[in-house]
Amino acid sequence: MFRPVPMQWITLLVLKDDTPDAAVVVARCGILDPDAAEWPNLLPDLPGKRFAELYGVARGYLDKILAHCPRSDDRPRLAGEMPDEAQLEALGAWLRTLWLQCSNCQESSRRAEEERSYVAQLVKMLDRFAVLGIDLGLLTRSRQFLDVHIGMMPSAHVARVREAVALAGYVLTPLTEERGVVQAVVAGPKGREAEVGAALRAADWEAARLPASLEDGPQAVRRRLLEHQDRVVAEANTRCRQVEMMRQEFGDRLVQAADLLAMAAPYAELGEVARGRGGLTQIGGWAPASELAGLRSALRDRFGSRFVLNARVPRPDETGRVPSLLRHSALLRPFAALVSNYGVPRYGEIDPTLLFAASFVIMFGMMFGDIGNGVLIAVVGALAARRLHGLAPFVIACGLASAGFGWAYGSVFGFEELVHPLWIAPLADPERMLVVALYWGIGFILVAGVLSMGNCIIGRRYRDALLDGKGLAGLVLYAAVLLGLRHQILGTGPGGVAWVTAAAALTLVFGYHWYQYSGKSAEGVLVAFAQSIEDVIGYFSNTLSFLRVAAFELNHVVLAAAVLALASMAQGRAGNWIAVVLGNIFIMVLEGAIVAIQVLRLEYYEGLSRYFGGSGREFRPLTLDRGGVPAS
Amino acid sequence: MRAIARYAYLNTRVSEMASRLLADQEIDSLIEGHSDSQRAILQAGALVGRKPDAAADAGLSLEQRLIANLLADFAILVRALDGAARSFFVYWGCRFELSNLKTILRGKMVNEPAAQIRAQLVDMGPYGRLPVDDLLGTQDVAELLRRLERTPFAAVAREARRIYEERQALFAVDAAVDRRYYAELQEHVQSLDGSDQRELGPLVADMVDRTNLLWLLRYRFSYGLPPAQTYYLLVPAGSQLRPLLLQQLSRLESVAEVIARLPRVFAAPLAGVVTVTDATLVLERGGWRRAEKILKSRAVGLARILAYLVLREKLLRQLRAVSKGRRLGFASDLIRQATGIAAAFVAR
Repeated sequence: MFRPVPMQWITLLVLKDDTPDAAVVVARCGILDPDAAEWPNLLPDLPGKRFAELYGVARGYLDKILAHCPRSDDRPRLAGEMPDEAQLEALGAWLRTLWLQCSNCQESSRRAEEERSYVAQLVKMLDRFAVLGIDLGLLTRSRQFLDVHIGMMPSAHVARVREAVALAGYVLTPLTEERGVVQAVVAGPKGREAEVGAALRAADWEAARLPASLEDGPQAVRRRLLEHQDRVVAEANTRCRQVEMMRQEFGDRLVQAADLLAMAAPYAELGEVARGRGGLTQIGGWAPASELAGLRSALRDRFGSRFVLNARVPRPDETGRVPSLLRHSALLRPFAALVSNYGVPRYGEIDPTLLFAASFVIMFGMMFGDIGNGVLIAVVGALAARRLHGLAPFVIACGLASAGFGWAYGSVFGFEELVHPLWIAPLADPERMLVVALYWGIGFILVAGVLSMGNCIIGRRYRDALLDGKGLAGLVLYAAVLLGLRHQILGTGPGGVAWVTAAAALTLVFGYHWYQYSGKSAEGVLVAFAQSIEDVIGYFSNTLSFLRVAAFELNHVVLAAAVLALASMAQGRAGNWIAVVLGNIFIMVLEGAIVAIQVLRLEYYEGLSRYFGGSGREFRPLTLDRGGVPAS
Repeated sequence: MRAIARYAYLNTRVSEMASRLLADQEIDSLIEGHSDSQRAILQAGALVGRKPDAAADAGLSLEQRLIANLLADFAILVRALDGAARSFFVYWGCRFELSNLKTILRGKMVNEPAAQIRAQLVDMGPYGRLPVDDLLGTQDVAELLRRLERTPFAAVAREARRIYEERQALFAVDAAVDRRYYAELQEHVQSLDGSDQRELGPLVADMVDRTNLLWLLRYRFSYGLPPAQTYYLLVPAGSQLRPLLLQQLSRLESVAEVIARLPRVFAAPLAGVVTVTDATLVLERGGWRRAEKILKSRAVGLARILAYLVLREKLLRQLRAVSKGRRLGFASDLIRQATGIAAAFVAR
């Protein structure tokens, strides 16, 4: 419960011809996380490399085709034969031709869209000229001394283009501007048309493709432009219809292709990992020690005695490579998701999920204690369990904790007089609330410190466990300073002894930081001093951070009182109740969310960051339905 | 708050990092060094004084490790910034990703195999925004550009499409990407607050001036573009080379004429230069020298960070040149030239 599942390093030796089948058997068991084989120099061959490459190509095309024309059932059936290299190659070639048709459809749709927007701009330009009574034909006709360009470009380019064409003696005159596009005329003396043309092209200039003669009138030109646009759109539609027909025609073959690739995926995934020599292949990886018997039995069923399966416990130098498999009950899974959002524990390290869940729920209740709000949150969590996708236990637990602490505080939807507080009404003694929050914080940090030491010991970092600021020396320093402060403020407990102990612990922490620094000694003193100060400040700022646990509950009570005050001002009984209901909804949604975020903040920064590196690797077994493209 | 107080941490960091930059003599000794050169280059690439992280570095080529180091320094500095200053530097860091984008576009336009293109790319790690695998997996340029249009680089895709459809020379892709980059960098400078803008503005404007001058010489005398197109393709954001001067320079017919019309700050170091290649070396060297001056001065704040990053990039380029040169067995003089420490006009 507090540690990742014990793993073993697995070495599976099979005949080279059996390797693809072995990959499927291993994937069906779903317990092996493949890793680079040992002694790569002794096993120079990569028997699955070509297969993985072919798979990658075919998979890439299939994914793109399915993204272009999705199927209703995307899940492969995971049955049938494993393809060989020749089949995969043929499948890749066939998928490529299909994809080219899809790609052409996409390209012609893009062009059609471009054309549509271009024609729309041009039609607008023609309309404006028609209103002004200007014959564009006059401008477009070829002249002996004058070179004229009519077209459009992004507004942002106008100033720069004007300066550029001026170098060739041209003038740019903007005509209209709409949605960041300017329609303009560029004119100048003939002789440097190529130079101006090049500058305009560089500026995204779209020349107006007007007919040489506009004598037919703007309406006829407009009609011809729209006809041209329709032709382009129709062409795009035809291409896409062809793709649709292809999809209907080859729908079944695409399903078969997906099935085939799903079967091929495990062996492809082993492409860079399975190594061999001669007729033998070795597959290496990590598997839970408790499930090896199942794998052995499945291999025996398929290959009889034609395999060798060896297992050993991970060596100390391999700890960083071993994946962490964490198994949690459905109740803990939402909390595990929050922990994995921070990081995955390294193999062997303490899994903080249970502690995280317990402290999260307790702090949520302490900060948002209200019987009414809590029960309502729990009921909503239970009723909406299906929609919450596994988050229901999290919501229900938070709701129940809120209700529990609400009973302790004697608060029901903000009414303080309905239930007698089991412990204390927060506003009756806010100081006591703050002191309790402070003690909670001290306890939380001490537990985090002990866990940090535990993780150091598990990772064989004994010096860190004893001498680091987050190790025993740091904890002693923290506890001694707390005792010293207690003596100073309250006059109880040890005084002198505490300060002497704190000074000794601080010296140890400082000395250890200095020892760890590899640079110049003068710099080392400075760095060690800064790190030691940071350690001390860190402990106490983190402790004070827990005052928010009480502050948010006090805030909740005050907010509820404000809602009730507003409700008392509302007219009539109905108005009063409406104000109470709306106020409580507001409190639950807004304050509930804020409290959840604050608790998460405390957990991450004051808790996990103290003892949890989160640099582990998640256990990702080879499975049939993983179907991912291999790393190659 | 005054810059010295606001950027106290960053100034300290930059000073510490700058102490690891190499002088020309040290680069020279790397070029001449014999034993275990890979390790020496890695050490020079700012790995000195850091804990080796074998797991993280496993499988990375020398160049990738050097770039990973540069990005690590970059991350440390950017983390301590916020607001417009942070946006500016994050955008500055885009230059590596844009270099990847250029490589992909150019490679696909000349039908280079995906594996070959991939080998030339810089691993951007968490800073990467380009869907490299998707882009390399595209069937043709049209598909590549369609895919690129669905990324933050859509504007580049549109420009690249025009270049491709008009069958223009491939340098146009580089030029388009660079132009967009510097124009946007200048926009980021404009969004900085007063003192930051005053400090950083001249340095960025100087970079733009040097880039403009370089591209002007290339467009006019290497690629033979006409004045109007040349002028349009420059970035309107420099300080010494104002639009009117750029218009005049675009009309000139030789490198010597252009140099003769430049302001003194550029004309003096470029005096006597006749080829675009030499001009490139001199202009780059000038930019580095300006950054070195800022780093050695009492300047605090953003200009100091940018100056360090410019010099860090210079070191990266020099180390790559040394590594490649030694791997290919080039003569020391040629490597010196490639690193910019022995160019004919460097002494000026």
